[in-house]
Amino acid sequence: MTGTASPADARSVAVVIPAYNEAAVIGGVVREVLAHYPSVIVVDDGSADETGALARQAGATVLRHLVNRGQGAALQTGIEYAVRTGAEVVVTFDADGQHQVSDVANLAAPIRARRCDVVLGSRFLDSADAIPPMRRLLLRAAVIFARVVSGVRLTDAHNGLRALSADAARSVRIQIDEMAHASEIIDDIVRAGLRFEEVPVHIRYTEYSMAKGQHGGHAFKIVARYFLERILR
Amino acid sequence: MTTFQLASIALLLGLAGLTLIARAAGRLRWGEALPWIVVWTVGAALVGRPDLLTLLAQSLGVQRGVDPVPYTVVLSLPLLFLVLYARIRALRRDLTRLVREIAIRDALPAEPRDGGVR
Repeated sequence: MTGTASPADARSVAVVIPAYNEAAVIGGVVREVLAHYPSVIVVDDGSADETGALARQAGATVLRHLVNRGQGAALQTGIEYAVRTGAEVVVTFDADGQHQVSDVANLAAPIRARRCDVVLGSRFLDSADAIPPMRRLLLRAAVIFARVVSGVRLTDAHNGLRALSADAARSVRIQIDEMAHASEIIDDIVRAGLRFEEVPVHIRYTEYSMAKGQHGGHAFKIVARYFLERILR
Repeated sequence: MTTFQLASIALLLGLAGLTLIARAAGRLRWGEALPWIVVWTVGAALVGRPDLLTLLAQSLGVQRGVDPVPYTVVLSLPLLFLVLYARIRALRRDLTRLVREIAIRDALPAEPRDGGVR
């Protein structure tokens, strides 16, 4: 079940969208989110196309990385900016159109109710979504990985749709620039003793988003990178 | 001693000398200069007295004088990889911090320059 936020609640939410070469969809994504939440922060991660300009035209606040640094880096930039500019709740949202703005209210509600500090979206709590089989297998592996390595029981360990209170956002420091940041965020949540819960979210699998998303081979790279970072921490 | 050995020793000791000069001129710290001086000096000693390597190998329980060389390489490579990775990681993090600060600074509203008047 999805919800809607009151105007006052919506104003306290900053939606952070890291984007890299998403000119094809970013305008539509920004407009969709802006229709409900006035504070949309797009971090253009050194795109070679018109992502930044199109996001700005659509009405987002755009931060631009002069060179591409990776999704983790772009998220941290957006989160820092959101906290600096007074957001009470920071929501991370993908730029490829997979996420649905109607899920944001349910992510923010537990934080506003002071029930928890972080809310993680899970596509597996609502079985209505058709998840491609290979993607489902990889995501299940990620859940097992999170349980073994971070000691956390989650149903979806690699979902980019999440919400953090401002204090939680200050506690989380994403230092892995690339895709292994998702596991790092979970580690930071555990390390900082943050209260978290999962809520159901809905993912739109389109040809575009599937082409842009992570593939099986990336999983090994992500795991290797994660372990190297842990050794050197 | 052969001509090749004499020339090699001269070259290696010359490199050790250049390293010392660079250290004296302040271009290298002791932590950077000392390992290289040791490498050049040990290299010169081994060229002059190849039997030293055999003695070293036997003291370590290894039969042949040349065997410690690949063993050392195999043990050193992972360590070297980690050291290089850590340095590259530090550089990448600095770059990300710089890029982030520029991005945020450019996006924040400009501060008033004189007593709050815009």
